[in-house]
Amino acid sequence: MSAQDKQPQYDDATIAEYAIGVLPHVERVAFQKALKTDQALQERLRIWEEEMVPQSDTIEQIPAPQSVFDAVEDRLFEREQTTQTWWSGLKNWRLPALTSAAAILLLGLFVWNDARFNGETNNMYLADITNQSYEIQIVGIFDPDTSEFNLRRLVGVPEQNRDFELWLIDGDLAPVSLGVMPSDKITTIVKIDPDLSDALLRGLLAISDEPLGGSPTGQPTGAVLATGKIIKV
Amino acid sequence: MTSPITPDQQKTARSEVNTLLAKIALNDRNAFNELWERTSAKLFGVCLRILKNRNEAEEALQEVYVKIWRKADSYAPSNYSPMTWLISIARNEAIDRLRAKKPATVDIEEVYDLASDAPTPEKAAIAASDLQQINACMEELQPIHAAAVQGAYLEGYSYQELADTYEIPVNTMRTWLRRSLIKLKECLQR
Repeated sequence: MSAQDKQPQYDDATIAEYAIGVLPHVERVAFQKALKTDQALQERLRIWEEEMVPQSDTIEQIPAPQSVFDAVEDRLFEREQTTQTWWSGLKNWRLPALTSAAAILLLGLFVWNDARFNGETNNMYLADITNQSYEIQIVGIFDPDTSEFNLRRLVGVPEQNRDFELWLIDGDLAPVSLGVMPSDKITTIVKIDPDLSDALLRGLLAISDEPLGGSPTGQPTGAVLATGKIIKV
Repeated sequence: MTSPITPDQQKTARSEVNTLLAKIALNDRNAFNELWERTSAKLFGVCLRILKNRNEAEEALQEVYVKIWRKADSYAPSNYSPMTWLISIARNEAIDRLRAKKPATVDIEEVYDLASDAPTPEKAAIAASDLQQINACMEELQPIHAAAVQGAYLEGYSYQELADTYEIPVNTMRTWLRRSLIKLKECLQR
């Protein structure tokens, strides 16, 4: 069986629409997915991109701030440069700010989707775990009364034969796995060990890319894809 | 304004960037630094032109160079010319962000200056032969169609924005643009 059999055939005009950026968002996402595994499509796209790229000659060069490159190097090389543990670098990551408006929206999503949160609980904690480009976004709601951490995948799926694993990083302590998020389900409920409740509320949450079933070592082995914190609502 | 580049200069620059990418694929950080020095102003210009917001363009650019480092090993086996490969990463990052940010809203001010970006003799004059060729082919299109293609490519306009600018239904806009792209390719391959 060939992966291409299942994918839509793209005509030249559609590939061109993608190349110039005008392909509507939903089709664009599907196209990018097909592109990952279809080498013939990659090559056809390349030809279009080569055809169109001379237009870029008219784009003015604008000096980019050195701080951007510094941030790139921090992200790519911090782990090898220092003797620090990999997760200590995470603390310097800029966490996407969870505004109260966003928090209310997240809460709304859960209340809407999940009857268990019907406003009866007083202590409500929300988590927004994402990366700066929002390629992955997982929101969570933690109920300290039941120790249940209810997670919902909003954006992003694991690569084929990979899983997302959720980690809790409390200060300089080694990351603790909170569980693997099954890739075939949108929601996952993680039971939090009551001993970890306090750490959960102050620590950093991270999603890493792991082999199916989760890290074989008990520590993250793949890239950190998204981070976030819990806030009280 | 971009300064004129001769075909010879272009060829040299091309093979130098090629070499840098090959080194980056082998985790050469000095080569990565040099690539940044040589290409970041161009790629920043690309991101800024599409996103029209400095902070967002800086964030996009950061992601672009992270991707360049991580994907450098996939460059060599491809047939891409180096600048096309780099510019495509930058354009896709910027457009993905733009679409994620505003799925279908239209900023009137942004759309209005689209008309002023129609090809002008000045713009055609700055270019190397490739740009002259694509401009010549653009001129075979109806001016309004050529402007729509350029608005999409250079500014990242969506079909909705283009349709609003030209006051035609989105579907009509799409039909126009798809036809124009095919015509453009036929012309470029003549």
